[in-house]
Amino acid sequence: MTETRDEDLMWRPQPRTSSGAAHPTQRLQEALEAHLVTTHVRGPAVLHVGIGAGRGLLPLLQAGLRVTGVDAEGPLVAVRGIVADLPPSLRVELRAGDVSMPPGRDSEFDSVLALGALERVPAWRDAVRAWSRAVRPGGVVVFDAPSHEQHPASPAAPGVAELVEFAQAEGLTLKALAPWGAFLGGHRPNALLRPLEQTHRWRRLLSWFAGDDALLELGLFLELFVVAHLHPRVAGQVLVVLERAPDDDGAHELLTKRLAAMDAASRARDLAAVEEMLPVRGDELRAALEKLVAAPRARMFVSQLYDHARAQGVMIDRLLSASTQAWCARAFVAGRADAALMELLDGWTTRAEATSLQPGLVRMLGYPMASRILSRLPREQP
Amino acid sequence: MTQPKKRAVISFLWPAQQHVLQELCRREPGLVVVGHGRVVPDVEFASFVSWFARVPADLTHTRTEAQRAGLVSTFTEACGGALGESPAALIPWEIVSESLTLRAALDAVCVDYDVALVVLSEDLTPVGRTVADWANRRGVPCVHVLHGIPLLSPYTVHARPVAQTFVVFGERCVEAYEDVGADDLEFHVLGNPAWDALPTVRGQRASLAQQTRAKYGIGESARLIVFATTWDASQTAFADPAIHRNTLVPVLRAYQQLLAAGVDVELVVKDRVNADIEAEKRQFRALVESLGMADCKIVHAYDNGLHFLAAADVIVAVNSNMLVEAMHLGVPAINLLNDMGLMMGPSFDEQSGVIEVDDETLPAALQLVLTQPGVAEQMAQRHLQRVAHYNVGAHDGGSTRRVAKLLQQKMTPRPPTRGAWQDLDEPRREDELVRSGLVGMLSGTPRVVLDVGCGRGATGALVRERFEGCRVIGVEADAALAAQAQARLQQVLVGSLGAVDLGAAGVVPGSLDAVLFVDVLARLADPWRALLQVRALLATDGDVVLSVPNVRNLLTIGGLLGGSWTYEEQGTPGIRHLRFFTRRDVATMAQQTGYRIVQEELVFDPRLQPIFEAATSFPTEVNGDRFSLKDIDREELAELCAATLYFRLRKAEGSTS
Repeated sequence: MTETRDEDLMWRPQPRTSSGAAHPTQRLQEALEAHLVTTHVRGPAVLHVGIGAGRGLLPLLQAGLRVTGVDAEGPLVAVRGIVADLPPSLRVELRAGDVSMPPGRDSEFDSVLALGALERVPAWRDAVRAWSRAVRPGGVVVFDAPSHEQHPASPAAPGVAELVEFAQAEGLTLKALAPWGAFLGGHRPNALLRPLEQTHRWRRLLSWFAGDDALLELGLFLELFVVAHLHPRVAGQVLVVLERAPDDDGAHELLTKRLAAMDAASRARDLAAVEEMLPVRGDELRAALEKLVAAPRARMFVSQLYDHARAQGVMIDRLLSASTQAWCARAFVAGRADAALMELLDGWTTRAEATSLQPGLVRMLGYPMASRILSRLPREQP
Repeated sequence: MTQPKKRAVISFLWPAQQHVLQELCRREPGLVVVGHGRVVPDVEFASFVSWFARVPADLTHTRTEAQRAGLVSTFTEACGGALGESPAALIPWEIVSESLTLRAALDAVCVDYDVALVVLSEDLTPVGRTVADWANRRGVPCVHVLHGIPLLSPYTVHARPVAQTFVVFGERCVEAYEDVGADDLEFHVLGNPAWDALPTVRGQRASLAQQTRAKYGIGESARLIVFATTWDASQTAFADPAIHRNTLVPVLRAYQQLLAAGVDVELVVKDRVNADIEAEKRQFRALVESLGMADCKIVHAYDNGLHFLAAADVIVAVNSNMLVEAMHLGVPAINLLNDMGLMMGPSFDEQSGVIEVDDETLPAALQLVLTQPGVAEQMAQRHLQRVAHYNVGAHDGGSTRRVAKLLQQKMTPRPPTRGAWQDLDEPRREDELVRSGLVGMLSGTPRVVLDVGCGRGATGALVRERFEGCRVIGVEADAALAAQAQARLQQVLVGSLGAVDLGAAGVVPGSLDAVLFVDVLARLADPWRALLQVRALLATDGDVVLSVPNVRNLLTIGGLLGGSWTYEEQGTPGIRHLRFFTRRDVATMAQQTGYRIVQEELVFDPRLQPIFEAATSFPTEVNGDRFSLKDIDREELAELCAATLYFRLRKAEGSTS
């Protein structure tokens, strides 16, 4: 006889879910992954660890790579259908297996790519060791992970020192450790974008990555030319590239120094020093950004980021052209004026409550008085 | 003795949403609407103005004087010097006075009525705020039915609602309030009653478009741009006092460019009256001339937007709910973003299919939508796929019903009434019911009849009258009723069928020509055993004639589907009913207890008979409040409209007792 517990049959209302797209930033993510493949992945043979539903397959195939996919039997079911429909020239081999111990010969591949896989393995060191054995000497292992600085307690979020130490012990070179996908939201949210990232308004804006090329272009530019060169703590996740070759020419020292310098500069809020470490800087950077934010929704994006940064005490003015700065500042000042208006009205209501006055009498005066108060409030200078 | 006060709802709903009150009154018979503004047809309506007029002027004056000092000192303190000299000069005293008068008038309504609910469309201006605040203080439930979607994040005073129960159109509205931290409100996502006609309008779009084009002389082949103007409410520092002109000019310019490019296009500017319509018309003409567009054909109108919407090939508006209306109709929608929209937006999400542009990108967007094949269709498709996120009533047009249902739930409960159960202890007060139709079903000339549950003996007496010399033996458990029946029947046994001594009364197996169960089986704990018991006493060709209340009555099941199963002293379900039968269930019971049905009749429920008579072709369907029943043939419809079912049974052949 089977037992049915009443909880199994009980129904309760579900919490309200965000009603935006399931992955509002998917198009940006795909564009970033495509870039990652062309920049870091070496061919022709690639082991795609944790292939999942095959969402990340496209950029690999577009780059002309020969892909072998590994995942547990369950997830593979979905990707089999996709793979079966591919033309014979794009053959993808699928192997069922453990992502932390992918089946195959030593040195069988030129690269291993493992996105979103690190949280799925029991111990990151064992998994990355197994992945590095799957590549030939000189091959690379590319994976992403939660950012250690934002998730210090996560066992799947190795820090700089740990990675360097591990690489040295394993005869590998840490080629890159970079923040990645700072604006993607999703399962590795960016703590620095809190509370902005929690608003529906921001998510609604992100939804336009799917349909607004100008916004996508801005997002890609910021990710690739700014974020990727900053300290890993500016994003919820990092990208790690390890080469199967010992560090013979001091790469680790260089990387560690650069990250330390970036860390110091950004902690000191020395944006000039930060900018010095970016691949595009000075007038060139401002001109590029100026062009990108001409589009309406790109301007919304920058304006909201500007507001958010300023509220956190970070001035991003020097990255913007004078006219964009002025525009963003005008929005910020208007927001402050609205807040001052409400602070005044709320203060009045509280005081009325403390007397025998009906606070309702005060509340109903907000509407007719708002514009008069706003016109008298001293405006902050942009 | 004074009459109890009538129940009333105080309504400050806008005309476009007022039909919710008709639906509410349909559900709550006897409810009075004390309304502000337009009279609501088909309801008992009392104009709020009459209470307003009755408030003595000195009352509010005195109170204003008393409160003036308090308002000045608390405001001056709250300003803390931020507003310069004499900030209290900003307080609009005439509005304070009006608000106090309004409160006094609301109090006066309570003298005349039992106010069960306050409902309003806006909770922002002094009137709406006063009404909501008054309701909160007085403990009257208050429901705020939003009149628009806050497409831009609710700013300043918009973010401080007073009414806590909030009817919104779709999840998009909830997003807006959650973003400003006003998420402790009680949200009900029910849709906009004012938009319930839109699904129908969508179906009639072609003919409406034709009418509109004919009325305004718009060319048949011309593509039509409709621009809905906007205005400035000055409630935020983001506001642009010149927004009307600043958003109109780019649209006129874009139209000029399309004309220059040789596109066969016309423009309707759907304007809104602010103060002086003639002056505004002159200003508009002057603006058009200043742009060198005096010769361009432009329809400048202040009429209902829906007709223009139906005729439009594309609509342009500024963060306006009219764009959401366009989504309902599948009309391509373009949101024109001014600085306010750019700084406080985005208003729409990507899935909505709404195109968002600024001044510079507007001409190209219009050109794309109007001339590129497939673009408009694709936008329309996306609008319709996403519109329910903005208004949950977008496809079913059922928001009026949902909102009325919520209002009904929110009303203060009626004063406790006497429950039907209290009658159980009282002597039975049911009307004497003579089921002559049931007596008419008896066959032959019965000589001995058992009337089980004979009550006061009315039906049994009729049997005696019809069949001369017939002996009617009554069985009745209620001693008081039995005593009355004694006078009408030859013999009355007091007690239940299982308990009385039928043998002593001369009733032996095979001796009964007929047994009556008049409205009795539903009241027995074990009607099956009763049927078995009388079967043994029945003659071979004897009749059992019975009536049961029809539980498969449309009103009964409609009530049940609607959430109530209310016991009534008379009617179905009755307070004394223990068992409930449908027509099919009686057949089953008869078969299981050794009978066959030889005749059936039904008695219509007078409330439902019109439904039966209105049905002319079958199969038909019945559409209830929220349910519909399909594939109903004539016989089944009769059953659904019946109050009572009559049966004549005979012993089944070959069965033994």
